[in-house]
Amino acid sequence: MADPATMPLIAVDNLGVRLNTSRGPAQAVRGVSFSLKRGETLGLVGESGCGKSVTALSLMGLLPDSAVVSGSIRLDGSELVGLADADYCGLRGNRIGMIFQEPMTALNPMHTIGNQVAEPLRRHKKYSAAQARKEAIALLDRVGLPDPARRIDAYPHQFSGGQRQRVTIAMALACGPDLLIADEPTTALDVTIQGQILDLIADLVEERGMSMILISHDLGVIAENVHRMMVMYGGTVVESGPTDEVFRRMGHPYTQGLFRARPKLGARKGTRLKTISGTVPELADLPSGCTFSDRCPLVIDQCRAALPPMVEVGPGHGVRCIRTDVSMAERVGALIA
Amino acid sequence: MTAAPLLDVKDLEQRYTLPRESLFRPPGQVRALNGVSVQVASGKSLGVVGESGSGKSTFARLVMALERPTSGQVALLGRDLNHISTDELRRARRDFQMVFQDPYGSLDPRQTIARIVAEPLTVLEEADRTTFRGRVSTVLRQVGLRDADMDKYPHEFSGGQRQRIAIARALITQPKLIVADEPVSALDVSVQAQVLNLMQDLQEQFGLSYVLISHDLAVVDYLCDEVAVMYLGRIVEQGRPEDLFERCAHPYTRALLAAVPRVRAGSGRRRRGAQAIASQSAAATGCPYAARCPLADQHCREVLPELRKLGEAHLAACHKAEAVMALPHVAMEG
Repeated sequence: MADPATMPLIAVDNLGVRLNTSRGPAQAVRGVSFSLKRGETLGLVGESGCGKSVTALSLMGLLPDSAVVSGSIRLDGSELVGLADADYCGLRGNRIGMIFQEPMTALNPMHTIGNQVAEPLRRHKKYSAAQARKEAIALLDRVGLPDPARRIDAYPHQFSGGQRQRVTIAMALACGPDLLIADEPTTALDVTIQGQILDLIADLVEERGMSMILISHDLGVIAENVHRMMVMYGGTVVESGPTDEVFRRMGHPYTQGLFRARPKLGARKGTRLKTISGTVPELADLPSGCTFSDRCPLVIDQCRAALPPMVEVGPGHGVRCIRTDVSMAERVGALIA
Repeated sequence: MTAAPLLDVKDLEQRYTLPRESLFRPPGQVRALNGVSVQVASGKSLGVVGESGSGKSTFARLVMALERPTSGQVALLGRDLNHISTDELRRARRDFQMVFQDPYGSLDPRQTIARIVAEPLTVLEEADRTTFRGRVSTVLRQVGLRDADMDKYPHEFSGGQRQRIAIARALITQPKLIVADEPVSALDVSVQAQVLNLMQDLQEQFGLSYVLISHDLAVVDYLCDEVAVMYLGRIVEQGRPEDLFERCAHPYTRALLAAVPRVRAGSGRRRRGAQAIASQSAAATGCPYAARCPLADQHCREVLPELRKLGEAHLAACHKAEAVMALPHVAMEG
């Protein structure tokens, strides 16, 4: 085994996922590669149907049985693709924790929050009921749930949305996972609560030296919370790099389009938003060649011929576009570093 | 302003009774709205922002006369919507229509687009099928859809197109006011911009007024002439977007502004203060925001601040408004 300090915690190589949808088989994820060291954070950005959640679910081994996964996912050097379900159960909630988007559906309404937070501890760490309960109270206290000793026997419906999300965070953290996957953890929450939850996640990631994959459609959330980011569209990574680098000089027309389409504070009434024409395509009928070619303002015939390769445009900053000479001449990006 | 306002809301209060918890005590009440007064002039837009539980959706339902308020009045074009007969109200509905948040839940999956869009009209008018179809095709073109879409079903459309259909349905009666409850929050970012631009075009074209309910300050800033910030059933600050976002006078508005994630290279993590959540049911004295407010003192906890004038069209309910306005500016995006 290589030195654990330099070896990536998780290494994903050429990941592909094929799903059976109602419109026929669809390649939901194509050629996704990345690796994360301990303590590093990675953001995945994109709109609905771009493959970001499918990527996360394939790391968790939670894809439907009919899905075909190709490529490789290595956690500390051991292969996860094709792992038997029983072996995956030993990893999920133990070495990989996940926070889901909608806390009301992620929690079981029939069980007390105490039991739900204690469950992974009982299962993976073989704690006794009393030990697990004590640990659950400590976890709920850490995530900032008021008065956890008294509220541990309450049911999910007795909590507000922000409090429920704190409970699911406590569940994800119970066994001290090495990798935390947060799939749109704050989309269902108010903007002020969103800030608190993101702060909490950032503190915990730092405190426990975890790696994190944060999935969001909000460029602002990504800009403030992760070291590196990947922009996905149509199942492929169209741009990736250190967050600051990508925001300073956006290379892909899709990233630029997303950035320009956001309504910005301080943009007065009467200004027009720059839109991306068309809509997000169904995964079953993606265009050939570059997945963004149907909506791209810079498209040329060559774009439709083949999927463009990743082009290095800066230190660690790659763009999957053959027209970066034109797109990057416009210098779209957010202010100065 | 000389002309009478299009929408005139006065001292609106709405209370909901909670389920009874004890035989011997009266059931608790939720004060969803606590005396809200606001006016919207013809052709202008009002944005209502606030967190969940601030009463913004209750406000929308009362403006649409979908519920009767506990007290106060809602007047549209000078008519008090709660003191006219059901039949008159049905006919008055021609002038105000609603667009809902979820374009998947708000369109009947078993009806064709032509029937969905024509429905508000069929309740109001007697006419033959060709006339209706003619009207439907006009509004569909106004929202950027085609005649061929008339005989399709909702599942054949994407989220953004469905929201266009919902807007077409609201437009068909040629309303003066459209109440939109989070119209773009269920849409993808790239499509959100298309729908917002459409709403702006329609306003210019038909002189519509919008009451736009949103939790997204940037969306409100983009589309509205005036913004009201609500907290626990009260308007805590009201004014033009530039007043609110550049010279905000209420600590709650400031907290909302500061919480918006910014896209800026090298921004890194910004720390936010911890905030307690206040209760809606307690009939507490003093400023309802005092528990979360970093500036609150004894006076704030004892005396409820009234909305007071701070600028030409700028109101805020805070004892320390001047101090808040003097604080350094919350950074905007370039």
